[in-house]
Amino acid sequence: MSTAEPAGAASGGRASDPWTVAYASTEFATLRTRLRGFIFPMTAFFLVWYFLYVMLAAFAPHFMAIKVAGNINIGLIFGLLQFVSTFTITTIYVRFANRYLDPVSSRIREHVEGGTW
Amino acid sequence: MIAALAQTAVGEPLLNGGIFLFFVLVTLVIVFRASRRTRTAADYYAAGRTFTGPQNGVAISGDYLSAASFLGIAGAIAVFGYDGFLYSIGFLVAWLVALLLVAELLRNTGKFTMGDVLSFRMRRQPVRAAAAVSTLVVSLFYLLAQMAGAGGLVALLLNVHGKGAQSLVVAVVGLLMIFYVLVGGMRGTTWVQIVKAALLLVGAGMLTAWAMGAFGLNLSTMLGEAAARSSHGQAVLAPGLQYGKSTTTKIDFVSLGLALVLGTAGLPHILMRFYTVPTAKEARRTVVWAIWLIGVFYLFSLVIGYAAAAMVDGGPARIAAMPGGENSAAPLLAYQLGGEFFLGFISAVAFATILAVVAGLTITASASFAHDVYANVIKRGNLDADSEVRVARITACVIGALAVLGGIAALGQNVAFLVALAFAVAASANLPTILYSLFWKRFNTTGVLWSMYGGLISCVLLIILSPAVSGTKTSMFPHVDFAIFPLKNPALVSVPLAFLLGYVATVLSPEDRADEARYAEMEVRALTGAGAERSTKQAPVPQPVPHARPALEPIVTDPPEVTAELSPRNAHRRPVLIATGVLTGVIILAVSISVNRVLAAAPSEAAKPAQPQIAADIGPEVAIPALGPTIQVGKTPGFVAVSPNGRHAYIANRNAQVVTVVDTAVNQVTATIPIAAGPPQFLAFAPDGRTLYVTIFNDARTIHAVDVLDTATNTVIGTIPQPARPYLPAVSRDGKRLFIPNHDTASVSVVSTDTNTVIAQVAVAPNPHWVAFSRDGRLAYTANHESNVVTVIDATTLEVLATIPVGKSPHSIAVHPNLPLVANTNYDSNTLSMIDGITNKVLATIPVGKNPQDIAWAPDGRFAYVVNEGSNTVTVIDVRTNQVTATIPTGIQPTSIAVLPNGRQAYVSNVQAGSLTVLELTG
Repeated sequence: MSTAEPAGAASGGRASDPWTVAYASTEFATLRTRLRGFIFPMTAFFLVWYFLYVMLAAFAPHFMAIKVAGNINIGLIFGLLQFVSTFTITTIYVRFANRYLDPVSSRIREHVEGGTW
Repeated sequence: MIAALAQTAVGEPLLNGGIFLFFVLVTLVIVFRASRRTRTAADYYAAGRTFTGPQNGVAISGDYLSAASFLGIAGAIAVFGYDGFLYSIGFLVAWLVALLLVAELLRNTGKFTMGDVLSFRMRRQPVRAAAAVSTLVVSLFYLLAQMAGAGGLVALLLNVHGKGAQSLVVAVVGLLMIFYVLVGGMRGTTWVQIVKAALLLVGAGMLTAWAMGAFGLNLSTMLGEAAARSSHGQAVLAPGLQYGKSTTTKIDFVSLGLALVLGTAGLPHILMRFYTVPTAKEARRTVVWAIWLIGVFYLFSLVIGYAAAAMVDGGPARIAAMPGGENSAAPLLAYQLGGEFFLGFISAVAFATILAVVAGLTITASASFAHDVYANVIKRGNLDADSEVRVARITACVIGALAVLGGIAALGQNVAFLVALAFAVAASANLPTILYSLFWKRFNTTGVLWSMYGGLISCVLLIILSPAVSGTKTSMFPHVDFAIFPLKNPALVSVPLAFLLGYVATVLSPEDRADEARYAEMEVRALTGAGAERSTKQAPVPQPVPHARPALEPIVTDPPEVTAELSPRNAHRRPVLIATGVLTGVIILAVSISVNRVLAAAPSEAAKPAQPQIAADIGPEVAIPALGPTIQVGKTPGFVAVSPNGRHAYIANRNAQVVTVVDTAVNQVTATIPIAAGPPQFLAFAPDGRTLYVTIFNDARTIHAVDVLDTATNTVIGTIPQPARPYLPAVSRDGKRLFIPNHDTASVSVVSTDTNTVIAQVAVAPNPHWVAFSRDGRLAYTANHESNVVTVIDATTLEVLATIPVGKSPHSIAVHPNLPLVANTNYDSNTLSMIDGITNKVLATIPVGKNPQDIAWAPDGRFAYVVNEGSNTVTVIDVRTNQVTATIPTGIQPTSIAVLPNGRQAYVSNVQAGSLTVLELTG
């Protein structure tokens, strides 16, 4: 059943609460730093890269129309590169998560769920 | 639309209908099977969290790739070129937001809805209410756009026209959708989406492979051909055609880009799909699969769009002029490549697409209402799972009914902006709040409410005040103008505003302190998946046991998951549910059948000349052509034809027994070719222009033949004997057959152009005068003078398909260059009959001058030119209004007219005056 509001912030953070313990642990701090250290810069990168493309398409159509090979122009290559970068970032993230995030997060999860904090 | 392609009224809609029906039956079986395992709330809302990442990835692409993606993007590329491609990139890159920032964290902290996550560490009731409002707004807007689109689209694919019949189609789609959701719950809906996504990818993949094969796997060649066939030329290969008009449209495009890239990860129906997998890792795999499938699909769309421009008969101009507008590009390409069956398949895919998307939206909206609003706000959490699912089912019916009514009301209105609006609301009301909740410790309830309502209200307000709603011709209300906000997409303003409001409201409300313990718990849960909702297949989650403080014990503070089966009382409900489902199915089938009946009888609006949306910049012709020079071409010029490349006009001088050649660049006679066999009467070019067929007969009716003239050397290279006065023949589109009407034997001779021998005779009504082929070359039309009918012949099987009564003495006939329209002149009733090429019915009868003898279309199809032998004039008719726009004087006794392929000049032969009148069609 749903409770009313949580008992109040003041009572939180007791050492006996497994969540708070986990939250304060070094392992969790590592996990948090690793995750944020990856996703924030990566998000900034792909948003800048995407908006660069959008801006060029909107405000520099003549640049985009320059032909490179046959009827393939810079705009098409730029657009296809957005696909390539999306696929690449996806792959990099999955490898990163499998290697650096999942082992740590499962350890913490086991501790929390097993009540061993 | 489809019928317009094949120009047959019966066969195709039935085939499409059959394939649709097959899809519906397959999905019904799947949904029934799924219903057996829908027992708990987790089953109904989240399919028991039993789907694997790959399965859910396929389903999520099925949920995401709406008909707008499939038909809209390919069509936009076909007509506007590169700008259509820009959309797909925004739709794809957006998934990185979902992958990196949202999917896994959301899966770990929530249960069924977006509200679960947002309310986790906030004051539940106001936050849940806000989340539900935003979810319902986004889902309903999206749903409405899909339903209105569905009505138009399915109607066109099934050749259904008229508002009543279309409304019926919307109702059927709505019933099916309710049925899927009601009986199958999330599990059934997911399977429908999986089937649909598989069909969509296979269909699009086939189209792509086929089209690429046709260009030898060379994309550059295809692009070149697409540019060559577009009226915009090379401009279709670069950005700017649609958005490059002004600085406002450019900024508008950036705004759209923002809405697309941030909106996807805030779409409630996408978010909800992450709860159907057992773990965050599976949620990650879901997004990975979705990104690959969606990315590959958009690459297919790029090829399909340009291939449609490069390959479809009539090119982009015809696609834009089709009743379905640019949406018809992919179906037209399918038809061009694989004929009726492939078209039927692609149409069924489009239909499946609509059904899967609307079902996903309905279950999301119903879950949000039942779980967030009813169970947690109205009942304050005191509701058992049975009742909650029951409320969700009732809500699904209500939402379905609303969507049907709204969809019917929106039929024919321009509601395309609703999809963009849904993305904009998702980007401004949902995403900032989700991100703040997950990553900003200090974020509090005040911040949530300001950010969500601020984003939502600013978004909706701005769009109401935008050109999408009022002030322009394409607006929802074109006749009023309260558009004070210049952008069609509000995201550029509303997204930063929502982020700002969330920040400022949080900072300015220090008394509303976020619960730090709950934040700690949320972040640990989010990052590690500890205590997360499990699959119903697995054992219940071992929730950590706090050592001392029971106050925090209900870790999931919403009603606990009921993993047990519903109470025995509810076991009886299943038969009832299935019975309801069967009944709905029967009703739907009955309705479908009656729809088909109604449709068969309904007049086609598709071909109404008032409808064509011909792009304004295609044709150079004006309503009132100017009179140009007169060229003397020798005695008795009875017929004029221009070569396919437009460089020469050939004139049959009847009694002079010569064919005269005029150079159209200088309008001077450059050659005279003697026709030894007898008086030349009519001329027909092969499509390549190398061969000209000259029909010959004399007044004494002793000579009947067709000469074959080589235009490279201007010499006669063969003669084909004919039975009886050959009138105007026509060469098939592939150049392989020559159809010659035999005036006195009520037949059409079919000649093989390889051997120049007659290979068949087709019996038609007496006095066939003129032959013309349909655009796709599958049909031949003859105007039968004394029978007052037009005959429709299947050009392949040579069967007579239809006989259409027209005016008195139909003399000549001409097929519209890109619409399913055929026009003939009625010599003795002084009228023109406009025939619907789909239904073979006369749409309009337009009075012209006296004794109209010949008719020609402007190359872009805007005007028809009729030559009136009895009044020495040419009548100009605007096809959009069926009104006469000009009457131009000619020489004495004009008998024929030929228009240059560039649409600049027309030549009229004046048989008694011995001259050609030149009309300057561009004024």
